[in-house]
Amino acid sequence: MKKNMFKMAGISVLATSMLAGCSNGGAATGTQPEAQKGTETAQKVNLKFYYPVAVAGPLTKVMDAYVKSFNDSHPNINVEAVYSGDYNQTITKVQAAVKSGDMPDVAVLSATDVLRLQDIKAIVPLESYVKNDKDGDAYINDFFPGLLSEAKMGQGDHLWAIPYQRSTPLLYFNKEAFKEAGLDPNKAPANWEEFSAYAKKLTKKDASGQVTQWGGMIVENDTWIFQALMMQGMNGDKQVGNQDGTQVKYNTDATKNAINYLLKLAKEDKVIPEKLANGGTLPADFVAGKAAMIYNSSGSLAFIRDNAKFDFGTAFLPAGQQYAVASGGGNLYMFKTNDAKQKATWEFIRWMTSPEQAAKWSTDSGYVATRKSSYNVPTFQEYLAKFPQAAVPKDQLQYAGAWLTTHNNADVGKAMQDSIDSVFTAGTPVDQSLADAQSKIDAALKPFKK
Amino acid sequence: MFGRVSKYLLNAILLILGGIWLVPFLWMVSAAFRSSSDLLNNPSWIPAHITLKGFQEVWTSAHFPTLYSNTLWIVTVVLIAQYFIAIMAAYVFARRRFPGSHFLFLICMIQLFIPGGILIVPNYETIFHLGLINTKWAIVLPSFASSFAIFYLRQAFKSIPVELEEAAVMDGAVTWHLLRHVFVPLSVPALTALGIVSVSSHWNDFLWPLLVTNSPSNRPVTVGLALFAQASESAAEWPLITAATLIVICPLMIVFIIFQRKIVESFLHTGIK
Repeated sequence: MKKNMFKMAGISVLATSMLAGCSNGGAATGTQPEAQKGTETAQKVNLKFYYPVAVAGPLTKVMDAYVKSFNDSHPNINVEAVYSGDYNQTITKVQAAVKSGDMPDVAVLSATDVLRLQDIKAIVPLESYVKNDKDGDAYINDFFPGLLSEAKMGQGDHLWAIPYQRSTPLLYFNKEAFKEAGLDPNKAPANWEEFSAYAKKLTKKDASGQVTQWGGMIVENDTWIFQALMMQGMNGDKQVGNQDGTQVKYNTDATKNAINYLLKLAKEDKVIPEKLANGGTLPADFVAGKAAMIYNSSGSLAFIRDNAKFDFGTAFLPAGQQYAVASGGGNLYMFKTNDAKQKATWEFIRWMTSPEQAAKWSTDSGYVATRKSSYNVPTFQEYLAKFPQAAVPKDQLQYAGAWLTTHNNADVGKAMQDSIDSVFTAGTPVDQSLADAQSKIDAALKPFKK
Repeated sequence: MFGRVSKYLLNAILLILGGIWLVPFLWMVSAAFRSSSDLLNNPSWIPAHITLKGFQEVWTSAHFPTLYSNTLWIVTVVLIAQYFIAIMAAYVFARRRFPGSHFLFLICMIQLFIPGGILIVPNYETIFHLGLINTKWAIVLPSFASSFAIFYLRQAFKSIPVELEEAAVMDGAVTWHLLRHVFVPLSVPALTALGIVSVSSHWNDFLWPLLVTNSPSNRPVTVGLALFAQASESAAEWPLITAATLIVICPLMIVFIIFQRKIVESFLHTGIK
């Protein structure tokens, strides 16, 4: 097992350096004549596009409509949109396909899959395509910078993905509950102390001492939001992992602060439930009035808007030392096929991430529009005017750091999760549980270190 | 006296177990007919208004006749293939002795211990090299030779008295006749039970069909509707999820209710034998 992992690490290093060589060569020599050839022959290029659905609703119909409109306007390219389950099922499908040499041409996969895909030599770096486009630099600089951090991970200076469906955690708050508790309904708690003070005022109990309305609910069984807390506890930088994805700084003061913050809210203030909360159920609890504030994904906006019978607001997650979130969601990846297909894929990626298309996708799905210029699209401005809560995740992006992306992501995430669980449910001392988790993480990443 | 008490006790336990099983099902049915905000704000199980909006939204999201007919095709082909292969293999393993027969049976049984997830990549490669990706054959082919079916039928065949077989041989029966007139008719309960297990598990199969097919025209109803259950980045829309689930399981449930007596009988038979 261990031996294999060493081998894999070796291969991945080799692969990335080889790819680096290829792509540089391509940019310098091969690309110009190739482009001419493409237009001359005008042969139809067929592309396979895998995409997951991770928000409730019939999004496959939406995606089919996008792809149809792309195909209609690009007579030389035919994209086949393939719904491929959730993120996990999509990466499974991709890995099985890559192993058999039956690659898709383009796929939406989790932003954190970038190293895994490099390790299996499946994807192509995109900087040469960017350089080749006249407006390439302007295009890349138009994305919110926080969204590109995962795409730049790995060996060397490459761009491995284009941001597509992204989200950030938000603080949702019930304005009516705020009024009832004598709080200003237009002012959300700005930092941890305020959150705790507000939550105390918002927690309601019945005669028997049972809580009928929690001040807040925070997802603990998910490292995505916990990572935001860790970064909030840092000073200045937001680095949890390193650029190569081979190291995680977990046993740190920042993590201790984050866990102690949650412990204080749950055990001392008693304003959030002691039972670990599950992300999927929080919006329902919020809508039902069981929690006056929740930390939850911006992906829940539409659900809460459609179901809440009260006025609600959205705000940045309260700051610790600083504001910080990790932006989640999926990126577009280009697979290593052949020049003609990759060129067509790039055209498709550009089209899918045009300002208008990004704005449309945001309206249809609830994800954050990834490009700054999307917010100048008139229809999108109208939408945001009607639904101002949807603009908050975009504003929060200026504080976004990289979503922890490592090799062996699953084991690393599990070690982190287990440490939070053991503190909350088994009462393990914080220091011990963090030290345990750190050694598990180091062991999981050891084979990938050079 | 004692028998009566224990009978009541048994009934009570069965009722409780049945109730526990029924609770989530009833909740699902109730949720499917409600609006999302009614479900969230009204703690009662009885809907304030009954609405078919969930069903409508789910139903219009995909082409159901295609999805259902694909699922039917899949479960039927798998069942026929499994019967065909398992009956022959089970007979050989139950009755014939030849060098290496034990070893072969052992290899066959080892399959039972391999978790399905491990086989995904090799199976995908095989299907790809056969040129069958994105066909219904890709979905059914890996399930044809079921070691569980072989094992289960072998046990059933072993319990058939050797005298019956000998009598048939005396009357001039060859192997084919033996299977047709002795083993299969005497194993109907086991075959029925096997059929139910096979049909319901392939009816509900999701991951493998998702992986090896791309176009909706080749996908079963589970894959066509799964998108309603995928909501890791947003809140779960329970009315849609439950409506979709009901739509998926409905045909199977109707079949079960119609044939309930037969099905239960066959389980009892296999149990007694």
